[in-house]
Amino acid sequence: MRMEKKRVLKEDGRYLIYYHFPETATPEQTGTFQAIAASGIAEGGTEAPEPPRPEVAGPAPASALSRNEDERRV
Amino acid sequence: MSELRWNPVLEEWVVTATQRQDRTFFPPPDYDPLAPTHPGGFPTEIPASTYEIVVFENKFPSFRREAPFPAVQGTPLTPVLPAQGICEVVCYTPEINAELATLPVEKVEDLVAVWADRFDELGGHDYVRYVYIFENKGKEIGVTLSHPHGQIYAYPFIPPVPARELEAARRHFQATGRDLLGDVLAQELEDGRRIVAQNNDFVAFVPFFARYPYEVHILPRALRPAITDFNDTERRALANILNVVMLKYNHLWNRSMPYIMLMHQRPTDGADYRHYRFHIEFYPPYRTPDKLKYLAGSEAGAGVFINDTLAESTAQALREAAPRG
Repeated sequence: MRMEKKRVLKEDGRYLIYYHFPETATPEQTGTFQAIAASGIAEGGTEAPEPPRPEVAGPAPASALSRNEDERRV
Repeated sequence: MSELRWNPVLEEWVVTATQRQDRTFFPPPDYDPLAPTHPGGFPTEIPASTYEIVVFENKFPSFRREAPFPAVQGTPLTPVLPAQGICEVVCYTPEINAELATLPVEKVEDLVAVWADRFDELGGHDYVRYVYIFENKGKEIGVTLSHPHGQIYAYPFIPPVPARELEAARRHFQATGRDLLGDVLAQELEDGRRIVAQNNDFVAFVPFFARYPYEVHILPRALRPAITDFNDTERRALANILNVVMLKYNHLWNRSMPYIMLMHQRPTDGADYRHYRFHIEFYPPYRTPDKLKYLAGSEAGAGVFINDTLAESTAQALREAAPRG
């Protein structure tokens, strides 16, 4: 099965991914997919920088606690 | 406002997402936000004249990639965290009146490929611990849009229900050297009374311990921890059995059956889950054609489900519903 995808950015910053399957698409769907201009983002990549990782380590929120205290100090 | 609040009594996170109060609620058909955008028409979420499958970030998410700092302060007892994660919407048909059950199997197979792609990509974010793929179907379940669609939540923690399953699977593997769900499947196949459908790679059954009257689980015959582990043949077989189960639901009472469909698979935190088996669960809310199964005192307050039916009987009814064989 062949699968292609194009990623575009909405005005509010959310991403939208069009998936295309040449073997099952109608001619209209194929034409529409081919006309879509991707937002200049590498396939499979992300269009936004990775945000800092939250200190969420599972059910026991020990690290969450320290993060929370840090925020309070700020 | 969106944040994670820790419940120390049940030891679980609660997501506070107040912006969801304003989410779109059953708009008229001409303002279907999940339809293609037609020239001169209402601008929907999808600015194209048609589509096959599209995935986009939820406009009213419970989790955000760049989560705001919490609006409230936590305490040592009840810490608070940003609700960082991703919420996606999956649209697999441009038709508002279609449904997953009536799509050609080839289209369901395409959707399986998209699910695998999303699992792979979302699970690759270092802040995502669990990718949860699901679909709520029907107003009885609480959907707010008529257009059929699925959802994906990329959680920054392992949710409580999968966590319980994972822990049970870990203990069973340590004790027996076998995967727990593999043993459950073997028992169901040996008994046979609760089997609903099967093919070369998957088995659908009402589990012995079903909590909902028409609950169905779909398990792969082979030990596969995630949807990304299936080969092309298995993906096709998964599409086939999904199609069969959903058609049986619709034919059971000759109506479009509402349901919650969900996938449980390995977390994406990098730990070893080779002993855990991917599976799909269906929870239809009806116990008869016109009576809902409510989560009332025992279920909601004590966590004890009361099933008013026998799994053996409901499995037989589903087995006899079309398509048979």
